[in-house]
Amino acid sequence: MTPILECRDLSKSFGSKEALSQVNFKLEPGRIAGLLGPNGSGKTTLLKLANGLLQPSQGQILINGLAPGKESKALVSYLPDKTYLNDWMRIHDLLRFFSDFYGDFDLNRAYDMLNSLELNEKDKLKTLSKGNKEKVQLILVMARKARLYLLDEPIGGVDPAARDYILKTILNNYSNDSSILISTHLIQDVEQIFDDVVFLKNGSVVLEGPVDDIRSEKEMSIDALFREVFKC
Amino acid sequence: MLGKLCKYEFQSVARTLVPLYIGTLLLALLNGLAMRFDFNFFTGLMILALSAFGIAIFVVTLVLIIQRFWNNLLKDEGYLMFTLPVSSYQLVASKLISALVWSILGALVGLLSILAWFVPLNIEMVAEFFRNFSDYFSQIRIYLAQANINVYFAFFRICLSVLLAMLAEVQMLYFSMSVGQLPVFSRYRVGASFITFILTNFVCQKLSNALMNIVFKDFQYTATNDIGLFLHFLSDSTLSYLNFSDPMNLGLLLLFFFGTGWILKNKLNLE
Repeated sequence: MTPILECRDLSKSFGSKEALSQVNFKLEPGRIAGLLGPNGSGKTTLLKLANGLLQPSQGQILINGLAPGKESKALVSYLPDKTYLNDWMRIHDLLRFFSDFYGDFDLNRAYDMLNSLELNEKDKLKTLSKGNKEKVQLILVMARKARLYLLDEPIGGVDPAARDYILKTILNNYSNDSSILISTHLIQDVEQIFDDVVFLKNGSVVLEGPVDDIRSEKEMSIDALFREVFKC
Repeated sequence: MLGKLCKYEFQSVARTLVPLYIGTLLLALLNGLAMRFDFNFFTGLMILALSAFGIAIFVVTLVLIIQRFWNNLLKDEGYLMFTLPVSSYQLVASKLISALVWSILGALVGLLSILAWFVPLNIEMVAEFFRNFSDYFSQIRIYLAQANINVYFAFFRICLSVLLAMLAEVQMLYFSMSVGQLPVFSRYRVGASFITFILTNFVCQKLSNALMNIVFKDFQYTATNDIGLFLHFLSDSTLSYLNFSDPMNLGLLLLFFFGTGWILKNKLNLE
């Protein structure tokens, strides 16, 4: 089976600074993977490469066997670590925008999530709090029936209650042939949902594989392992 | 997908420009009515206000053309726009099409507000003017026929040339902003865009002048009192100019369009 995401000797430099160096890993369909590493380890760069927002300096990144482009973007649902909401639409305008551009957008699912998180579809994006903006973005991303979800710090800015709901939402909404790659440094909260993990340190993969194997081999939780690998 | 991009592009610009258009037209109509009923005491003020609205339409359209490209593609909203299943060329094309349509609409509103001003003024006078105008026009038409000029074609051709020149200029703005956002300029994005525009404009101007000197090297105007001859000369020189400037503007438009699309695809640098 073609991996849904594959990095082959992937490197990216910004001027003389190397953000990613010789990264190799595969994400198979139906898996949930954690992209773990401290700030500045290259997680966001990797996700931007996967979305075609950056081009590799060397090597390749493939989505379902394709270089990032129009076709791959229709398969990928991406949550960036930035707020990309404009200031003139209301929530329901944005839902329409998404269903216009993405054939896999499920409007009913989006409205369900809006109700659960007590967001009003008539609210202007401009007036939402930072946390609510993040919730809206996550709803937009998870209401798609995408093949691959790329989530950059999805739970960074929201309160713990919403965090639980969001994780539950992610798990409930993804289907068995979809895959998720979640970048985070808040490992404790999400560790239990990962099938695989990729540890990034200074742009290189230092550890990669199925969580169960790593746990039994190292005899510690992923969180504890993270603290050990990235000890300052 | 291009149609959908245009739709949203259109909506976002309409929020600002449509109220401005309505305001201008209402003011023009009000002014026309006031003059019709001899409320002449605030004519001066009205002229001032209408001119202000006219200038505002021009300035706001230009600002929006720049701002929509900058904010929607090169800042945080770019994370949404560049992950849609569309190509960077489609994104640029949607901005360009929107710029074209709003420029035409702005010009039409300007024209309409001038008409709204004159029409209620004195209907008999306007009718008289048009009656005379058709007389003048038939006279002119004879001259035009002598000079072998088709007015409708000439008008169409000049409009096309103006639009082409405008599109090339707008695309030059987009190109300059795309260059300005490159990683090497990351701390001076606005300044770099501005300088790129000045330089690109300068180079195009120099190039155009140099080419024009070659084209018009053998062109000479001999003073004449014959209107037919003069029109003939005017149409000849205008046509030679357009025959030269249209392909050049088209070339620049394509160059800047594909340059912008290529940069945004390969060298995008969202903050």
